[in-house]
Amino acid sequence: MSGLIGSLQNSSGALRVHSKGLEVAGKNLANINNRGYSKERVEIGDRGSIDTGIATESMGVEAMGLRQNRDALLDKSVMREITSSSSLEAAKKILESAETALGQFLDRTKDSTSIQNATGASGGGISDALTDFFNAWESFSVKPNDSGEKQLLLAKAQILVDKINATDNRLAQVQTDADAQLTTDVGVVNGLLAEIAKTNEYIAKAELVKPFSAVDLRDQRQAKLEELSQYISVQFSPVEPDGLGQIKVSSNGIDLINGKNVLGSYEYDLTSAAPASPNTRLKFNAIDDTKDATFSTSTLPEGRLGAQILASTSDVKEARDAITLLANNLKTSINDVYQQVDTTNNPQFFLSPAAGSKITLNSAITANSLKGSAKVGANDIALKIASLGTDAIAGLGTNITFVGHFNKTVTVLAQELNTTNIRLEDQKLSKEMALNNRDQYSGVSQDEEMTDLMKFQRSFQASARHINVIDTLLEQVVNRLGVG
Amino acid sequence: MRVTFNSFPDTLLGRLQSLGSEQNKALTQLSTGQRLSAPSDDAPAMQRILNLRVEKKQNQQYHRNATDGLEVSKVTFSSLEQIKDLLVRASELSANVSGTSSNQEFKAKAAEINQLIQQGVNVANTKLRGNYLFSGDATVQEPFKPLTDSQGNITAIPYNGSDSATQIRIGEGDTSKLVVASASQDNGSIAGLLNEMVRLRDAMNEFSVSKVQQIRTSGGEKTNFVDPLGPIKNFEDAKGNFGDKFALGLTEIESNYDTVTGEISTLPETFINLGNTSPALSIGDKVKIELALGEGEGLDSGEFYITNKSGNAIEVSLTRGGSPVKFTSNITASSKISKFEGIEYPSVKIKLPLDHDLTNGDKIKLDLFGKEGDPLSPTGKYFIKNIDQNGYAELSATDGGPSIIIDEPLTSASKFRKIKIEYPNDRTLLPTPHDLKIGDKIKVDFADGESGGLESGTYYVSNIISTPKGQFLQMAAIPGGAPVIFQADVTSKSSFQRIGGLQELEDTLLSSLSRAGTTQYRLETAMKDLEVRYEGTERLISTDADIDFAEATVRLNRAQMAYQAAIQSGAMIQSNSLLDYLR
Repeated sequence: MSGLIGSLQNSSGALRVHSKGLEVAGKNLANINNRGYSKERVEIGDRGSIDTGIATESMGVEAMGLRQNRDALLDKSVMREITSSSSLEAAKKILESAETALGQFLDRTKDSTSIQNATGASGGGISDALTDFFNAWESFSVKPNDSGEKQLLLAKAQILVDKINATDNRLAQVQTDADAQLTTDVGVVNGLLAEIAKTNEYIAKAELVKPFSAVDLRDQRQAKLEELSQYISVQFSPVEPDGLGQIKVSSNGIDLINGKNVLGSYEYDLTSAAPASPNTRLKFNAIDDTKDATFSTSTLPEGRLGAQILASTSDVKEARDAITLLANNLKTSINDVYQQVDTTNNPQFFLSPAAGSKITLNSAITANSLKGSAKVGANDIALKIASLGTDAIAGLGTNITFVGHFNKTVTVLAQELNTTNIRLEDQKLSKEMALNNRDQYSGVSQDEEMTDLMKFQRSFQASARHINVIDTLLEQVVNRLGVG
Repeated sequence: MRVTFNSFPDTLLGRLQSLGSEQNKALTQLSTGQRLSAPSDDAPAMQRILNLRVEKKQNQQYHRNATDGLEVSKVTFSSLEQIKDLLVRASELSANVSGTSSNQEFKAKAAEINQLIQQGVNVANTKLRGNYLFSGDATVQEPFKPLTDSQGNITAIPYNGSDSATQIRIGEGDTSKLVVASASQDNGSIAGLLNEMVRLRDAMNEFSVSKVQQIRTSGGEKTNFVDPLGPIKNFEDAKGNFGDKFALGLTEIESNYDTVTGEISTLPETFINLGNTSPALSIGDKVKIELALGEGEGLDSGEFYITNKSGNAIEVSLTRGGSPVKFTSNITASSKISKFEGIEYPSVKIKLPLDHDLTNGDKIKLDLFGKEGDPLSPTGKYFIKNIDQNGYAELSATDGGPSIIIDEPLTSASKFRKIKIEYPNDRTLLPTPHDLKIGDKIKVDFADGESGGLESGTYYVSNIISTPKGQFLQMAAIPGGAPVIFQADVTSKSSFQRIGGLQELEDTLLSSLSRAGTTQYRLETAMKDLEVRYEGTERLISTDADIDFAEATVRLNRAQMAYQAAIQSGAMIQSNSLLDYLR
């Protein structure tokens, strides 16, 4: 192909290519804020060559197709970081709720600054209530006949009982909330699995003709994979051979999707009784029943699901167990001593806990019936109980007091939260880095697109100019030749 | 590096968020003054703070306890001082009594001492916030309830409080417990002291210079307890020689003559007819029968017990009280019977000496030699159930109870004493007259073997019980304590002596006062110590919990500056782009 007409055709082809370039630059710019979008570019190629007698000449350029800047390695790294971050965030939420439930915050504004200020702050958590309770026994032992001290002691005992029960209830609520959240999350995970499988199917159809052509669908699928990565750690690989762009998705050895097929669904089983630790309520029900899976605390997948289950069934549960232990020991230790005030009736200070509570104050004990000794007016029993506040209690562990035990419980949980926070801070940076790395490769650069715009604009202009010149030449040929 | 559109805003946003939270943290810290508020802000520090706060609260409580205790201690001290003043006054009044003092003078002094006693009782019954201070841990029980005679005069002031004292704690552990009111020894001394003043008053009323002088200078005389037991007597050897004391030799025995029916009976037979020369055999005796050849078949020669007697005929058995033995051939005078003299043991009988002064129903205390008298307790007390005409006695554990069977015979090596007066072992017999009042403090000196585990030493008269048998003393080791139990009889070898004398009592009171003073000092020291510890604890909490304002302010400023810089530079970069050059 040669000659003016051929050149004209060449140029018109070039115009198409340039306008395609402009169009893609426009599309790139339009998606500049879309984090799931990877930069696209036009592949420009030769339409073919022809022997013109002078040489073997090009038939002109054409847009061969669209290419994505997508790299599976970078995508996987981003997904891993997303999983880690979501894990920590989910654990943080639950631990923060548990810390709030424990209610042991520091507020120094109410602290007395002098030892003479006898009242002291009465707020605070169980730690303060325990100390106040045993201090009330001390006060009672000093004034065993003072009805005011007796009233105060009973009030402090009631506060302690209320605080222990309320704290446990709040922690139980944290677990209930986590269960509800997990049920929702499992639903989302199952939904995402279905969507990814569907997208796989569309991609296969679209790429039947031309591999890697379904760029937008691939973007969509990657966005969904990343969303899924929040919940569970996800691995993917292409379906081989002739997968037509489809992928297999698995999570820690459990196959979830193969091409257009979803291989099973997750279940968070709240209907059955809670399994004994370390087993959890999470299950994977595979279509192929031989591939059903259950999860123990050590095999839970990383991600929101696993993190929430772990935080709820280990950290929060440990805190609740510690409170139960505290309540039980409080009951037995104090009852053992208190019943000596009347060796025939053996009155109990604390009763076996009523349903839904951890410890119950014996309502039969009133300011009138409260005794500090088997002898009228004496204080030996009160003194013994008061000293339980500072004694090491064997039932709680080695060399640990009641309040020390609770303080430890608070600190253990707080330390877990603290560690989670620190790891999350670091993790945010890692995630940022991973996103940046990918962005460097796949992201849209405004400058690039601008220069592309200019480039294609100029190229278009140049090609148009060329057409213009050919047009002038053709006019010369058509209109002027032979016209005298 | 390829910088994409999102690189700048992402970096900027990240920095702004981080700086924002940094500022927020600094602001929160500056506004509360606290470095941390949630445990997760700094878990190890929070644990330290929580534990220190507990310690701080405990110290506050101990300080409160000590403050209350100090108040009690001060009132106790001042009450003891008042009692000391009363004692000093009584001492003064007794000092210038002499033979020349008139009865009028004695009367006047007695009246004043009576007032001092009344005042003393009032002070000793001092209450603080409704609690008696001198009552031990029986804080609601009036400790000193005077006994009065028919005219309403106080005769004795017994201590009615508890033997243990209320303790309060002023620190951790059992070593930090202390008695802030008066201890029971001190309370006991007060009772003794008031009793002594009662004696002084009575001596004045008797116009007795010598008694007044004695009360001034010394306590009671050393007095022996009363012996509740008779003189020691030895048993007699109750074990006889068998078979050699009473021998019948040949005896006319007509066994075929039935003494019951008066007829010749047919064999077999159980009755052995001893004939008219029948010896003084009685049922229960043990006999030895030596049969002539061919006589009394079925009986065989041997030892038997007489189980029945009818006229001159006897029935014999192999065991005491067993069934009669039948014999199938006649017994004639060729056979012999002899009686065992003495007692064979096991037996219920013991042999008393001739000069015994016992009658049925008396009680004796044994002092047995070795295993003699087994199973009687070697030092036990038993009732005489029956004494027979031969001077044999049977013993029973309870009055009128069954006789005790004794396995080992008694000899003269074993002794007994008649119990003249019987009483429970929580008391002992006092001589009459004696000079004790309830509440007195006495020094008891036990003779060897009479203490029954009790130490010789100081005791407190907890009760004096008057009975027709005599007056009994109950004493306690601690004032207000339970009466001591005597495991052995206290006899006239043991003695007691009342501790008294105004001078000695004053010394005792001074030591009580010094104890109360020491308690005050200890409380004050403990309070100071607690204050120092409180401040120390507060400082430690502050180190962990409070912020360094300068540091936090600098940190806030730094964060603010960085934040502004980030915003400005970000804005500059964002506002410059190729866009501006495109037409």
